[in-house]
Amino acid sequence: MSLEFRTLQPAQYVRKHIEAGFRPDGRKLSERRPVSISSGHIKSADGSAIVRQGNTTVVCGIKLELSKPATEAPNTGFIVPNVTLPAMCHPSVKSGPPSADAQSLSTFIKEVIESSQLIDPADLCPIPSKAAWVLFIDVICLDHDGNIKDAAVAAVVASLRSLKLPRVEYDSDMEKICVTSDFVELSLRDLVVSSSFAVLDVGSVNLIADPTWEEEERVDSTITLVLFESGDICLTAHSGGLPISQQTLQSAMKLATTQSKEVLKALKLLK
Amino acid sequence: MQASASLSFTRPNRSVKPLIEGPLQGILAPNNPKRLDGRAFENVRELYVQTRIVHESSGSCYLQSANAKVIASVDGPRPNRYAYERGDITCDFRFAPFSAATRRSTRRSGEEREYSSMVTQALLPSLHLDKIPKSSIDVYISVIEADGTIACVASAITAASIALCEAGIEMDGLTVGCSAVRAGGRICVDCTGVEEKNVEGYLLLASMPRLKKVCNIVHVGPWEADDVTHTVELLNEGCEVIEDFVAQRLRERLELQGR
Repeated sequence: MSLEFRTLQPAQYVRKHIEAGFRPDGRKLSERRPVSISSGHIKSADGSAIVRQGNTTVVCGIKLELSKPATEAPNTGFIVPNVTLPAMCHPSVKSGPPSADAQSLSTFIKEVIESSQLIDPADLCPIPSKAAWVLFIDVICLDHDGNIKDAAVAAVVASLRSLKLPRVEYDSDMEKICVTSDFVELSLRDLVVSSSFAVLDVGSVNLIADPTWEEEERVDSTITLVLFESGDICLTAHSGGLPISQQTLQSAMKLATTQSKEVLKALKLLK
Repeated sequence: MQASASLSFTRPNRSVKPLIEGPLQGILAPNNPKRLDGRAFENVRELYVQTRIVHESSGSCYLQSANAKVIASVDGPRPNRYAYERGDITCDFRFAPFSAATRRSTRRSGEEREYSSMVTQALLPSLHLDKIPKSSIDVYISVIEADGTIACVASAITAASIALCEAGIEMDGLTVGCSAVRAGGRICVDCTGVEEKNVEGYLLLASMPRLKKVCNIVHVGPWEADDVTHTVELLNEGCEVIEDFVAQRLRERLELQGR
């Protein structure tokens, strides 16, 4: 299909492809883009990962800081997730304060970490009432070609796996907190993988796995399923204007279960 | 199912970087004959350059200088009716929060604004902005890992120039940045983060080595005049080395594309 059609009528361009059963980049409707994950390359960060999903590139860095635990929660630590969509990632993104998209992505990451209970709160509080870890998880999108949610979740999980916490000792005589250079890996309770689908109604409802930016902009709705390794559901998110039937949801779950295996394999290869 | 205590997702009022006990890292000492990474004091770090990093941008570049990683992306020229006679160029220089030993805030700091303007000033001499009136060019620079703050700014200048070249924007030549610091009376070119501690000032030079022209010099610190001239010479040589490498890479890429 011609470049003029793509530029002047992008919505129709996408629809015509979906009606014919394939996508502008040649993928089948249920096909994900190949994912590549690498972790631990950013030495200034305590944990890091870079995820590429087609053109979409996301980098996650974790910085550790020490703080006194909150008085009402003396046994737990803090996690502060943040997703940034800088102006470089796409021409449509403007520089300035975080957009609604970026803020909702930050909340999404927070909800994934909370619902999945990936981290044992006690792990982040080496000396109860005295010292707690603060994990600043910063995700930056370097290149936006749709489906940042999946890439961001993969990046966060991969960087948490690469994170090493220094052992903390407490000298009660001197009342001094010592951070030793003995590093302990953070153990995660489970692994989670996010699978997002765009939903487009072209007479029949179609699920489009791993949408590109072009597709994401022109569809009716999106569903995101975050699954555990066992196949149990951690989180379901549905946004957009189209009501979804039970059938569509079931198909999405089935697809998500099969697709998450590839990402799980990539995550496990990192260790 | 529920954990007995659950994590807090709000930032604590005060948190500090953990000071890890252990041997002090090697800092540039006056009688050290060599640097930590084995380089001579006048040598720049090894570079790795990759273009076409951001698919929708006009031009982009990923530059890695040993551990330091910088990405530059150019958007434009875009129409801008407020730039009457000359086109307009703005640089947005950002450090990633996890790029340095101490976490940086996601809010734009005064330091980042200063570096943004340094990069803009360095790029201006090579561009013909009067040939693109009523347009603006946006250069976005993101430092993923910083290993030497002023060296990052120098790398950013190089990366931005490569990205501008990729974007097909008309320029006189590639602008390359190189920096040096003085520590213990000794001039040290292209310093890492560890070497940058306790220095007596820095000098950042941006030049177009092919045309043997200097674009921009920023010098901070009380130095002897001889030191300044000597450092400028060293940095010019450093820029030539970098430019040779970068030009070679770009040529190879163009050949691959069959242009």
